[in-house]
Amino acid sequence: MSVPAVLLVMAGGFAGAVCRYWIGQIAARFSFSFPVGTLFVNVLGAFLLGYFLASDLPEPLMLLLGGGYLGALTTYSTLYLELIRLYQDKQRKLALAYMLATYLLGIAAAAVGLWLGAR
Amino acid sequence: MTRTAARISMVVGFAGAAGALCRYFVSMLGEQGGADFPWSTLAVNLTGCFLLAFLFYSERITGRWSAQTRAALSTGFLGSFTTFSALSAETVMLLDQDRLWQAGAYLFLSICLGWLLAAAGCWTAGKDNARFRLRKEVRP
Repeated sequence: MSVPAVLLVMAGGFAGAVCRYWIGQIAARFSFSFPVGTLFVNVLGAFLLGYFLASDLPEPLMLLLGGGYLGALTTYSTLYLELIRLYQDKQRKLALAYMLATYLLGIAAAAVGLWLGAR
Repeated sequence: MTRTAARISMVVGFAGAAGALCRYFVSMLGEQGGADFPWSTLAVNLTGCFLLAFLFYSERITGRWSAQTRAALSTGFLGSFTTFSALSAETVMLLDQDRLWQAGAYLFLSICLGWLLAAAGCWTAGKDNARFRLRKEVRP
């Protein structure tokens, strides 16, 4: 492990976290009944990671964009916090729909990204 | 952008950098272990999921720590530490390699254990809140 790898992951992580925070802030201004901000970053990040993985980027770029930026842009902990909050608010169908939408769209997006990147 | 928003962005960014780095270290450990199943992603996701639920529901934390500190830890650190892009891409790659059972197991574990650990974080916070309130009554 080299020092540049650490710096690349951290630089990407910084940018990814800030983008996720701002997209969340913007999404919160619209009163949707479920957290669209998290859904958006997760699906977008899954697509881009698939695309980058398939397009054989050089390792430093992969560390910056994949492990750093997209790893930080997307989140699993927030998804489950939001799910459990919906569940506790008695919005169980909405929680189920949000979970299914995230997994189905996320996996489909990663598959499309991998396919497009490999072409 | 107000100054407060700029400051929170910076704090979230630095905590996010730390979270991404910790995830990277765990993935390095996983690679050294030579596992061909994405255990390291599963490990960071489930740990982060438990901790975020605890952080959110714990009165010990919400009552004492500033909104900025909590944003750093939750949106910044834990948000970056856990990841959904790797989870999706790893599932598709397992499917692509015709490892259907492993892809299914990975998804099943991610989906179900996520609920379990988020609920466990919430439950642990609830237990701790009872103790915390009791102590506040004894020693206000």
